[in-house]
Formats: sequence, C-alpha cells, structure tokens
Amino acid sequence: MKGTFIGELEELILLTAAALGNDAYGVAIVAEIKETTGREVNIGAIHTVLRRLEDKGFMKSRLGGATSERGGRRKRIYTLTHAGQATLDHAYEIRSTLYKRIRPSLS
Amino acid sequence: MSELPPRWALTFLRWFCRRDHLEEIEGDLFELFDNKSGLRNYSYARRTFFFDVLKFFRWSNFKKPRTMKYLINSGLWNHNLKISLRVLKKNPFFSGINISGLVLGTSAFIILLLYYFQENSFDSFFPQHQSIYRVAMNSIDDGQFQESAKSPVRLIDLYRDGVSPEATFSRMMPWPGYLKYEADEKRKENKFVFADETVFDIFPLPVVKGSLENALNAPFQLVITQHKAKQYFGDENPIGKTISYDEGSGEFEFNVVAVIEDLPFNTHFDFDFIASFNSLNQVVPWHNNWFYPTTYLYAKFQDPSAAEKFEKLGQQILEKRGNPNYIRDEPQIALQPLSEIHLSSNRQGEWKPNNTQIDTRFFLFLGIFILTIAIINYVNLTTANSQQRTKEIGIKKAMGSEKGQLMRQFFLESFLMISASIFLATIFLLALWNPIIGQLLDKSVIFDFLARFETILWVMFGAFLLTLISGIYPALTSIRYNPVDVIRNNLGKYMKKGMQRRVLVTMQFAISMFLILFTMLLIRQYYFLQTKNTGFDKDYMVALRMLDDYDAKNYETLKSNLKNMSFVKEVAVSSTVIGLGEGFHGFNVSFPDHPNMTDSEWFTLGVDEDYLKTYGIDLVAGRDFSEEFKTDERQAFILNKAAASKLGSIEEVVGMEMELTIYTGRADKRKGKIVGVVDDFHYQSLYEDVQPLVIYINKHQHYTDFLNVKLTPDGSIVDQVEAIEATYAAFNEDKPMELIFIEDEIRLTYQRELVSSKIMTWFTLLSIFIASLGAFGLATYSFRRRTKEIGVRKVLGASSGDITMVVMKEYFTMILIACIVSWPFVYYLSNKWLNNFAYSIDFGVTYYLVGLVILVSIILLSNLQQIMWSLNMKPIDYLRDE
Repeated sequence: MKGTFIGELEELILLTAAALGNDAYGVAIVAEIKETTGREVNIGAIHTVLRRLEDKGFMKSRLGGATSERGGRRKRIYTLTHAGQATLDHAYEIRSTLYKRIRPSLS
Repeated sequence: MSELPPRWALTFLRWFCRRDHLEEIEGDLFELFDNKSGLRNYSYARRTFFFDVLKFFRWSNFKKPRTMKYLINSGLWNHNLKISLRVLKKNPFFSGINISGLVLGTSAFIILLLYYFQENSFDSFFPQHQSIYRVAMNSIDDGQFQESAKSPVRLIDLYRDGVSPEATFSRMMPWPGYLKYEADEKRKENKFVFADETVFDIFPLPVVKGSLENALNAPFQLVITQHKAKQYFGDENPIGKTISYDEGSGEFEFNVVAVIEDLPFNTHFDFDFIASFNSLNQVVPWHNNWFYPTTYLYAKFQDPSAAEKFEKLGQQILEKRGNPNYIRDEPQIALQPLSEIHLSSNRQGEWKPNNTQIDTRFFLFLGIFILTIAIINYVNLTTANSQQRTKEIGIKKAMGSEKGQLMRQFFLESFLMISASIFLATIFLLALWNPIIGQLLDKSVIFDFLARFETILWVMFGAFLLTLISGIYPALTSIRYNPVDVIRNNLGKYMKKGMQRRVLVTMQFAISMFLILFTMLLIRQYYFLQTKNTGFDKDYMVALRMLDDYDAKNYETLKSNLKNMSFVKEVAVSSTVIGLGEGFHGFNVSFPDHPNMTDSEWFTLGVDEDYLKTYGIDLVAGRDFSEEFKTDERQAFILNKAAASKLGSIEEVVGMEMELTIYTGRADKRKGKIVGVVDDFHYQSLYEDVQPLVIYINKHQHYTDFLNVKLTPDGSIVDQVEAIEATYAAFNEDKPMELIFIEDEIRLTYQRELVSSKIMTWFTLLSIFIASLGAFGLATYSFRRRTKEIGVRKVLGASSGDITMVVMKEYFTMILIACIVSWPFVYYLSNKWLNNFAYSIDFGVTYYLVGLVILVSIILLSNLQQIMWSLNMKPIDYLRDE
C-alpha cells in the first residue's frame, strides 16, 4: 500500500480532525492537540499539513459558517475521506499488531 | 468584538498571501487573536499577532506572479509548442517560404553586421589607442589641397627641439628591398620598414621569440614577423641570424633580434620587417631631409587631450621656421586618432587602401534593408495565414483563453522561427565561409569577436527584439476576432481591407527599387571607370621596373635588347608608370612670359623620345620629342592640355619659353621651349581632374625607373613574358625581374569600387530573391482567396487579359507609391556618391525606368504561376460548392 503511509504530524492531525468530527478547522485542531497531547503546534504548519492531506485525498474541505470571533471570515472545515479513514485504520492495525507482540497479555 | 488586531500586520498578510487561502487564514488569525485577548489581555494579543501572521509566511501561501505561474505551467507551454509545430507542418509551402526568407535575410544581415563591426575594430586592440595619433601633413600644391599620410623624416625635429616629454614619438619609413638569407634566392620584400626604437613603446606587439627590449637601439637590427621567419629560416631559431638587405645601392647585413606575431588583419599597418631607424644613415644616406614625404610619424600622449595642444605647437614651430624647404607650400600638421585612420583617412601614401565610414554604414543599412524585407515577408505571410486559423482562435476564445495567452501563441511561433533561422543562418555562414564571405570578412577577427560574451548577449537580445517585431502584428490581428463571428463564419469584415499588407509590400517594393537602382549605379560607374577612354593605350602594355643603380644606368642596353625581340613593338623609358598613382614628382616651373606663374609646382614625367609613341598619346599641337634635335634632351618640354590652358591658347603655348628645375640629388635647372601639347590623358585616377603635367626628356639615372614595353597582340602572353624574363636575366643576373601589367595596375586603382559593386550586386540579388519569395507566397494566398471571384468573372465572359489586369491591378498603385518614395532618395544619394568622382556617368531617367521595368518584371514573374493557374482553371470546380 505504497503512498498511504503518512508522517507523524499528519497522522496526529488526521486523528484529531476525525475526533473533532464536524468542527475540524485550523484553530480548533491546534487547541485540541494542545489539550490532548500538550504539544504546541504551529498554526501555519497545521494549515500546510491540512492542505497536503487534502491534496493526497485523505481529507476534503468545505467552507463553513462565519462567526463573530473570526471577524466575519468563514472557517474551512475539514472532514476525513474514506481513504483517510482507511489510512488511519491501517496505521492503527500495524501499530497494534506490533504492540501486541511486546505485550501479549493485552490482547 | 470591538478590539481589532493591528492593521499593518493584516496589510502585510494580504500583501504576500494568495487570495484563495486568505479568508481561512485571516479567520484563524482573528480567532486566535480573540482567544488570546480573552485568555490574557488585549495588548498581549496585539503584540503577538504579528508573530502569528509570520507563521503563515510560507511558500505555499505566497502569491505566485502571473508569469511564474505560467512558466511553471508547463502543460500550456507544451500545448503552444505543439500547436506551433503543427501549424508549421500543416502548411509546408508557407513555412518553407517563411523560413528560407528569414534564413537568407538573417544570414545577410549577420554578414553585413559583422563586416561593420570588423571595419570599426581597426587598431583598437592597441592599449590606450585613444592617446595614439598619426602626425600627417596637409599642404597646398599648385593651388591644390593635398593630404599626405607620410611626412618628411625631419618632421620629428619640430617636437624634438624644446617640446615637453609628455609624448613619445616614433617614425616608420617603409623602404622595399631585396632580402637574402645565406645561399637562398633573393626575394623582394615590399613590407620592410625602418622604425625608431620607441615604436614598441607605442605599439606593443606580441613577441614570439627574443625580446623587444632595446631591440632597435643599435643599427642593423631587425624584428620580423612569424610567417616571414618561417619562410626564411624554416624551423631554425631565427634569433641571432643575419639577413642581407639590398635596396639598390649595396648589401647590408641585418641581425634578427626578435620575432613578433603576424599583424592582425584589423590594423592599418602593413609590414613584415622592422629594422632600426639609425641603419638608414648608411642604407639611405639622404633620408634625413625636409623634402620627400617618406615616413609615417606616430605619437602617443600621456594625456589624450594633449593632442590638440601638440597639433598647435607643431604648427607654430613649423611656421616660425619659415619655409622648411618642404616639397610643397603651406605645410600643415594634421593629427589623426589611430583608430579612426582605417575609416576616415584617405590620404596619399597610406599603408594600404582604407575604407570609408560611408561605405561601411552603407553596408550596414543594406543589411538592415534585407532583414526588413525578410521580416515583412514573415509578417505578411503569417497574418495572411492567421486568417485561416480563425477557427482555432475563436474556439480558444470561447473556451476562455485570455488575450495574453493567444498572443503568446503567436510570439512563441515567431520566436521558434527566428531562433531556427538564426541557427540555420549560422550554419549557412560557416558552410559558405570560404567562397563568398572570405572576401568580405577576416576569419580570425570575426571568430575573436564571436567568442566574446557580449556577442552572445547581443544575439539573444537581437532574437528577442526580432521576435517582438515580427510577432506583434500577427498577434494583434488575430486576437481581435470576435468568437461569435468566427463560429458563425462571418469573417468578411476582417478581410476586406488588408491595408497593412499593402503598406508593407509597398515598403518592400520601395526598398527593392532602391537597391536595384543603386546596384545599377555602382556597376555602371565601375564599368565606366574601366572602359573610359583614358587618352592612352593601356592594352598589351607592360613595364619593367629598373631595380638597382646598374639597371638605371644601363637601361639603354636592355631597351635595345628588348626592341630586337619579334613581339615587342615599342620600348620607352619613364620616371613612373601610370596606374601606380605616384612618382609624378612635383617640380618647380617658371615662365618668363608669365612672371606671375613663378614658383608653381607641376607634376612631371621624365621620358625618352619613344614614350608618346609607345603609349599612343595624341599631340594636339607642336611636335613630339625627336632624336634629330640634339637640344631636345635638355631644352624641350611637352605640356598636357590642362597645363597649356593655364598659359594661354594652345597655339600661343607652343614655342613659349619655360624653365624646369628637377632634383637629381642636386637642383638641375633646365631652360628651353615648349615644343608640343598633348591631349589630356588620365595619368591619375578618375577621382580627380587631370592636373597640369610637364613631360621632359630624362636620361639621368635618378628617374630612369621603368621601361615601358608595348607588345603585339598575337602570340601567347605567357611565352612573351618568359622571353622578356630571359632577356632581363641575361642583362641583370642579380635580381628577379619585376613586371607590371599596366591594365591590372589601373584596375587596382578602382579595387574598392569593384569590391563594393560586387558585394552590392550579390546582396541586392539576395534581397530581390527574398522579396520575390514573399511576393510569390502572397500571390498564392491572394489567388486562393479569390478563386470564386475569378470563377464568376470567367463565367461572365472575362478574357485572360481582363483577369490578369484585375489581379495585377492592386500592384500598380503599390509600385507607383514605391517609386515616389524611393526615387528621391536614389536621386539624392547617387548624386552625392558620384560627386566623389571627377568623371562619372550621367545617372539619368533611363536608369530609373530600367529599374522600374526590372521591378515590374520580377513582380510579374513571381505571380506568373498563379496567373497561369487562374487562366487555365475551370470555374465550375470552384463555384460548385455553393
């Protein structure tokens, strides 16, 4: 499955976006990552990665509603595509397979 | 939300960020700002806002400039390229004409441009050439203004006495002689000069062997060029070897101290041997005088602006000295900048014939003309053809092509064509190098020029410029089509005029007319110079040069030996030969009957009693010299008509008293009578009016320099020359014979006209060919467009003549305008050019009419095939499809 492997940050963002469901956009993802992992991710980097994931076909985007705290600008809401979902599943599968070998008791 | 992030940071963001990312980024930034001011405070949020903006300062968010977007978009390039190639392929006829016209045009242009550069590059390779000057002299000679490149040896004294050391001077005196190395045979070397040791300070020539340090300090030292070293010494080391030199008064041994590289082509100098100037004290003991202009004087100033000062200073000293016994009156000093000599100096006694600025510019314009014709062809054929591409353009427009994109298509096409033709032209040039271009261009100069980096930049710039010029019109015409018209096939309104095409074709006709007329002018004038009755018989005339004192003293023996040969008609001795253009020494004449004519100097020719017979020069009054009158030898003179007319009527002149002072190492005054007057014969070039000439009998060895031999026309000239050579060898065993063919010598005088008219003819033919290629292409196109019209006319009963008239009608106005435009130019320029000559053809109306006929026939010829086709076509074939 060449080409479906994704980088660490890409995977993290993909997961977070999936977790956020219908409200995944730049600032929300940054906040979510900070909350769950404590990592401060550069907002510019998030945008670049989101666009890259979209180019690769793992996500798709649409323009969402405007809010007053955004100065009337609309959000770009990202959602996972089927391919994105499959990639996440695949990554999880690989990890859990390997993990189970280390800690067989967990299975 | 009342608090806002800093405006300038947003302005910055909007400046760099691409528009489709902007809304989302701005939204996120605002949200972050809002969060921060909620969490901390407003001023913190303001302070950090800019850093958040910076986080988006990434390549992927940048605006891409339009061109960059375009460059990156290789798909579109590929598309354009593909279309361009398809267009070329689809219409091989037009493409072929287009490319061949452009290739020929650019080749011609490149050749002539290179020629221009070459001619302008003369002598500018010498370091600090701006501060090097030649000191030439002007003078008045019998009321005639004379300009001489050479000056007397002692001119340098002006500057030696009490002039500041801010300048370096060097004299160079060419003095041909016979050279011999050990047992090898003697060789005549015309390019032998004597020069002061400072010559290499002014002109540092590259050394191959030995050293130029003090090279010319001592007498009898010699510096020679590489190819002469090879010729004389082969592979031996020439340094330290001796060569013997003989100019007619004994042999002198010269010691070779250095070998220099051969002189490059682009210098006005012409020498192979440089000997130390102080050797002249022994070689030519009388050289150091104020009398004969034998020497070139060069000066290099520390400060380039000093030239004017030195010119004035020299002039002042010259005037203070009074009459410095210079050969001519009112001597004047003229400083010539070194690098301008080749294109501006045309004085007596130049090293080699120089060119003129006018000639080189003329050729440059010729090149531009030819290129213009070729580009007009391209523009015409491309616009004509673009009307067949309306569908392509219409559809592209309907699909949303921008104007710029459509224009790019046309620019790309013309760029392809132009670069292809420059490439092909270069190959063409290299392939043709030797036969044709070699006459015009010197390989080493050109290759040196081509190897420079600037040249490449210029070529690229030129290609770019040509692309713009040739692409702009097709590009602009094609984009104006309205797609609706195109798709509904409603193109009539774009077609009807073709005004620009007519203007361009008229321009081509005007240029062609100009070139045709000017070529005729050059050829006719050259032919005229060649065939004009010169007043003497130059056919089957040869002259033997008397090579040394022995020859000059004993010429009578040789004369009688030659006269005994069966094929020799006449033999006569003379002081110089017509066609050499020099040696008609100016000597002082005076006439007791005309006291006001004392102190005039007239050209003279020393001869013997057989001279006039030999050359068939007609007497108009009086008698020829004769051996019957013993007194003739010192007391008789014959004048030409130009001289006689200064003294009175021809009848009055015969019998008039006259005195002539010739100079044979000392002044020799002869008193006598004028015994005859001869018709004016052109002893100088036809650039000048015939000057007064005194013919006198001379048997003094100083001036018995040539034996003129009249041969009979029957028999092989080669055998005759061989027989003469044998006779000469028996007479003087020491030297190889030097024979001059008078007719060749005269022809050489007009070498420049010959070369110019040749070049002009070739390039005119070329440009006419290019123009007729274009006319042919256009004719084909316009006939294709008018098939229906011709068909209908035929059906309605038009005769062949009618149809030809209808088709050719539009040409007549164009030709008429071309004539109106070009004739005044030709009239003005031809008069200006012909004024250079004292004797010239009358370039009258007939020539203009002949030019017109030539142009019309060329146009008719290029239309001929199409006319024939339209006469033979069956109307039904072309009318049926409606």
